[in-house]
Amino acid sequence: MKVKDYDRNVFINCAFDSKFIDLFRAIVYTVHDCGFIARCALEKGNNEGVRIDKIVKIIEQCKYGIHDLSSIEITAESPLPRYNMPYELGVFMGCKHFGEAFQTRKDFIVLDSEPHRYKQLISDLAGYDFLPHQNNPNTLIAIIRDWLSGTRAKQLPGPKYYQERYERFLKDYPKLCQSLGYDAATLNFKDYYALVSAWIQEENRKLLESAIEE
Amino acid sequence: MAKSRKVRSDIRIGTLEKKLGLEPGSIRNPDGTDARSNKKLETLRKEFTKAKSGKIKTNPTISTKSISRAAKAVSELSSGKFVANKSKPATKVVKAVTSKPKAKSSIPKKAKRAIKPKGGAKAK
Repeated sequence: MKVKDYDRNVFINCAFDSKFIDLFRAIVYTVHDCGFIARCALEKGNNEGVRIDKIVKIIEQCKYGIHDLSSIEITAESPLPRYNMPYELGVFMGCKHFGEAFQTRKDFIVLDSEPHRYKQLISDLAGYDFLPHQNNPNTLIAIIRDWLSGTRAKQLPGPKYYQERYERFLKDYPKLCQSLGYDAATLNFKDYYALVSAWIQEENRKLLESAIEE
Repeated sequence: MAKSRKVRSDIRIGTLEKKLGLEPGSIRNPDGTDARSNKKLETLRKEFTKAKSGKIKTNPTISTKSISRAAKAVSELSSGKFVANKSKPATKVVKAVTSKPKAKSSIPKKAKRAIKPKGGAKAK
């Protein structure tokens, strides 16, 4: 069954460890600032049943998907490649192909840090555009904004608008964490999301008020 | 210097964006969605006032309580009333203790009533 905000839900499939946290936070921010709702596996606790069941449930509730495969590379810390991201991409694509009528209208982008690397990793996906973000949050913001703008009838403001706003958010972020007693480096998804949504709402309100005063 | 006219509250959002030279789609609803271009400024202001009390439509797993807390911190920061967390819990604890003096006074009263002899006899 189609859930209430299905057309606004965006499933984020990327690594959540400290190395990728900046990219993940930039994605969550941009998705929310563009008027969509960020959803990911972190929104449910680890002790609430089987992890993959929760992920499948979230995928079912999302029309859009952002899949970042940049973190599947082998490092000294993880000597084997990580298959979580490609696996969840597969579930998303399966849902799109075999799901109900509204599920077939799912849309997604696949991201990687470097262009054309996917040909060695996952050559079956040839033909899909793997958008390279070079592990740069600003490039990532522009990619996501451009893609989400295309999904809407009304165009969104340009990438620079979102990059500047994110920069301002990052300046306020440590102060907000301090006032709430949070640790800015290890803040969990739910609290981060609450901060992002409250900050964006305040910015939108201020923009409206300043427009009236001028 | 010539004074510009005040923006009327019945102006449409699309017109307002054009008038102020903002990019289309810059002015948004409180929940972050696009504000319709034919929406009145007055309506949007009312919605923002309502949303101040924590009624933001977001991820269903995020509790309203945490959104309200975050909204309070953000509004404090933007209004220049930023306070670091260190002093906050201490003041709350002190208030909680001092605001319940009844609990202490009820025990001696009950004890006095129990000691007081029946039949109106006066204690010497």
